[in-house]
Amino acid sequence: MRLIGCLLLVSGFLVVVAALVLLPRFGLRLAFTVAGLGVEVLGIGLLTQGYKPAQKEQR
Amino acid sequence: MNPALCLLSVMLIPLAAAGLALIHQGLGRSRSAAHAMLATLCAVAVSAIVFVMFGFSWAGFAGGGVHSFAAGGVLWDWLGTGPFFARGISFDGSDATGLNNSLVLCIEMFAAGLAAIVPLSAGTDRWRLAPICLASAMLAGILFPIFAHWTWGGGWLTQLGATFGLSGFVDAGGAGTIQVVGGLMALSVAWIAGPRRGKFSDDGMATAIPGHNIVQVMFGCLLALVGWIGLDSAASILFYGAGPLQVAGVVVNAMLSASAGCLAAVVVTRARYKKPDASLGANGWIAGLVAGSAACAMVSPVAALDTGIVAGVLATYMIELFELRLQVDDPGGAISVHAGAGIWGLIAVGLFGHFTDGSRGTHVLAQLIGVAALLGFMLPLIYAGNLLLNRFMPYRVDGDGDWQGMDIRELGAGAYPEFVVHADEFVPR
Repeated sequence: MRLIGCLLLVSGFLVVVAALVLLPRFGLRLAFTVAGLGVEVLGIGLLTQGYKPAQKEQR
Repeated sequence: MNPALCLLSVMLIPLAAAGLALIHQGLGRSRSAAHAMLATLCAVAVSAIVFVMFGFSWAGFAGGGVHSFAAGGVLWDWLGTGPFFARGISFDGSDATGLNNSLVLCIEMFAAGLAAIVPLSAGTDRWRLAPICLASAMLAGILFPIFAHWTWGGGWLTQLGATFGLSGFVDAGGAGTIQVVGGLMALSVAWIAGPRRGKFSDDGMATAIPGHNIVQVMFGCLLALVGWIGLDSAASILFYGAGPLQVAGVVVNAMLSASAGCLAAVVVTRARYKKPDASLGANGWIAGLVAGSAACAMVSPVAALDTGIVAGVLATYMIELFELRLQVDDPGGAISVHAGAGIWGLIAVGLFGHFTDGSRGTHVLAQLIGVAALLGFMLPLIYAGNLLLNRFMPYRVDGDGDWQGMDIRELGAGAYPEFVVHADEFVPR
């Protein structure tokens, strides 16, 4: 889960960079940037979930 | 540029470090207070040495040498390439650009120290001193310089206007460069070190472990205000060419955003828990300062007020989200206050900033791209770096040290030797 979370973080950034380079229109760039940020937030969520079982062991 | 005013402002920045140190040690347990303060000194010391020796070379300055690569028909300026040991800076006045660059070195040296202090708050009561020093070196030597170059050193984020027809990414007071980078480091440390023993019950319920000295926390807030005013003023003068009149605006905006953040947190906690919460009020104050620093010289006082209100409310709810729902133990609220409010501050620049170039939309988009770079590039890098360090030198103190306290375990003496230290009645053993 942690690895997938990390990959999602990087993927979200790549979506944003790709939109910046490939898309000429402002609206499309904005939409893909927001989508990329959404993917990154999902990645943070997965990473946090991935640490929950490990935290149980430390209680 | 007014170098005297800039230098004077730079000299105030260490007070922000002092304020943050008091806040995070006050929000921790008394048995780890001396450790928290020593860790702060060590983090600042290590980061200053490493940044001046190596980090400044990567951070660079506008007009300096850069590493860049071509992709998609665009030249991506991603890292500075100055000589190590600050040999590119002349302090003797022989170089016309020497004054400007030496001031950049001054402010970034303190900024790296501030970024290194932020994660201490998330690792309070369990993060060992040696890994703290190593992590501070990594932050000041590699991680902070990368993003500092992108924002303050003329890197690709500031060139979004020229290369992609947008507007340049703006981070006047270091909300992204210092606070979000430090806050993401705090998130990584909280993940890796895990919660304090007894923080969460077996069914996942969070136990309140109150800070040991809320008076010091409040005093830390006032000290931080002075430091933040210095930081915002110096960065605005140096990186965005603010004049004395704009610096007066920076001072007013910093005060207003901090006040709005604090009062918003007080009102929210009063409404939710029937009584205002002192520690969350302090967090709201710092969240206001953090969010307001992104646009400090470029917004009206009303916009600074709005930014502070949202930051105070956001930080309060984020602290609850991380603790109660996500079970991330962050004793000082560093993740919410520095990363959360910092990201909001960066977006607020696009929404409220006064700019002479570009439309409102292009500014918002540029700020969102900067936030995406922080979350999608810097966070994985920071996380991977911390995982690697944790493999060589475990971050977390052993189980006995958790109960004993970091003072006795790591330093051999407590912060308050004449006081009777009571057991944690509020934590189930």
